[in-house]
Amino acid sequence: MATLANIFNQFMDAGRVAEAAQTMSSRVVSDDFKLRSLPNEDVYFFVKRIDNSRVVRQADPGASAKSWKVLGASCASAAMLIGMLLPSAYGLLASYQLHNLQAENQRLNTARGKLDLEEAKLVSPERLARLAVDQEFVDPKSENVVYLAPTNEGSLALNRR
Amino acid sequence: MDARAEPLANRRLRILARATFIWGLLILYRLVSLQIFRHDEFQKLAQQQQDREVEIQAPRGIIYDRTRRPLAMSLPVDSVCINPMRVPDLALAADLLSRVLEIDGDALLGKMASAVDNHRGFLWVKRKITPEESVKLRSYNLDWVEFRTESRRFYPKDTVGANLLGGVDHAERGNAGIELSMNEQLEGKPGVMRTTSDVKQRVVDLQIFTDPQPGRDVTLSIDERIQHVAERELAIAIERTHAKTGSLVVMDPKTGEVLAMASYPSFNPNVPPVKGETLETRTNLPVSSPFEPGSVFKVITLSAALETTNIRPGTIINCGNGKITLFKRVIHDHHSYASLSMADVLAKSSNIGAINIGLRVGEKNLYEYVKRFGFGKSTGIPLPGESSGRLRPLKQWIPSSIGSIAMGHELSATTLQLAQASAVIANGGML
Repeated sequence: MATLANIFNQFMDAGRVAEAAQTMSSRVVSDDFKLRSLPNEDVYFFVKRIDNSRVVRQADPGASAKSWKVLGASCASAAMLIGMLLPSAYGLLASYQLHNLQAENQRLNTARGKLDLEEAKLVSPERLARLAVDQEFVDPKSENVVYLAPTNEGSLALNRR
Repeated sequence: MDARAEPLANRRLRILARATFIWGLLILYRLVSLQIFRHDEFQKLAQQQQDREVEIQAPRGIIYDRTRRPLAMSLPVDSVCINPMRVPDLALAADLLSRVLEIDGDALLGKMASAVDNHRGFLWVKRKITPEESVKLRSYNLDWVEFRTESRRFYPKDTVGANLLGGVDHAERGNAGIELSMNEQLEGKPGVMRTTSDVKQRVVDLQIFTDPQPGRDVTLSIDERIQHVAERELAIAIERTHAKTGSLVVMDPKTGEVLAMASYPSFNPNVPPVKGETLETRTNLPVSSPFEPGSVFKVITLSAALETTNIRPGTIINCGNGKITLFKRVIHDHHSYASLSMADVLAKSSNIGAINIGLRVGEKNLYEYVKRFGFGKSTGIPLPGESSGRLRPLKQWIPSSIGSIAMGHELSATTLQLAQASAVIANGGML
């Protein structure tokens, strides 16, 4: 199993570690009531100073091309996948948007209808008559009323023509 | 490492691996079963859950007066329904709903219990509730209460023109007045659409099969201000004369347009009728309730005389000192006049004078002119239940009928017919 401890084992001084392991394993006593040892509990850690200032990575002439190939392939795959999924995703989002817009349209129409209704109630003759009484308006005297003769077209207000 | 622990761990691992493998196989089998073998069955089930055919309600047209002021209009409102099978506590639910919606809680509880007994999953609680009730009920967030949008008819002027406009039933079909007679134009045709919803019941796709055709608006010749004044004056006159009912028609004599049509008693069309309520208040009297016109009919007799005899407004008519015997029938006048000019016969409303003029006109001519003025047949106004009045055919007249008809008896006419006949006089004889 590629645990951290195992990887460490591969790189560290195997001889010293083996000695230490033997010493530790000599402590193992067969006892049914004793807890078994933890995995790799006999691993010792040593700190070794490594001077890698002079290490130089060998240049790989094909690495750049490989990288670009992988990158290109990844991008192409992603673009293809997105291209395949995009129409349906767009359609789904558009459906949500369309539904929201229809709901909004209905809501606005309802709101307009309610306002129209409210306006109609406010200017109803009964209410205006009530307001006129409240405001102490009086009907004009008969001599103050001028009856307009209708014009040929039947309109009353523009009878001067 | 423990020598015995390793095999045990390995055995456990193997068991776990096998169990996982079997679990994976089961899932794979289930997936294949769902996706391939039972594909059609589950597709149908999914469509039943996700796809719904919904009726798109066509808004009912608006009724305007001649100045484009709305007299009747429809608005969407909420209706409340429940699935009684899902209600956790019937008594508590009935109590809550009755308080919020102001309905009889006991009756609702009875309906809910009956629905549960009969395994019915749908029950209307209250239809077309007010916006305030809707807001209040929604605030409780009850998952067993469902709100459905329906259309409700509003009459913003309340009683103005109520008898003329009529009303609609719960399905917004006209059941009286203009609402009934113009129902075909006002109603429109509902559309049909199919919606596909996601798990949160959000519509992800919709397909409209038939577009709704909104009802057409109707503009009446009625002027709401004249209508209001007419109704107010009629109510004052009824109160003054202690009459039971009354009707009034205002007509433009030049065009024959009806500017106002008032009935007394009236009603508020925004208030639904209650059980046991008489239809009297909802009758449009000017077109549906004929009566003996009496003295107002004398103008018809006199106009027939002007056309068919040499009697003129200044011609002196014998008024018999307030008494005449016509084919053994004695008829009295309300005032005794020896003689009056034709104009005064009309001004003083002399019965004897009108009878003598009628006798000069003759049965045939009088009958012909009464018919020409539109009596005995309906006017053709687009209102339901119009009465044509009653004018007996000439051959059914008895000898004294000419005297009765000359002063407006032995026949009946509606207020609209009388207004139309008066408009003929005002319009220089043109109907």
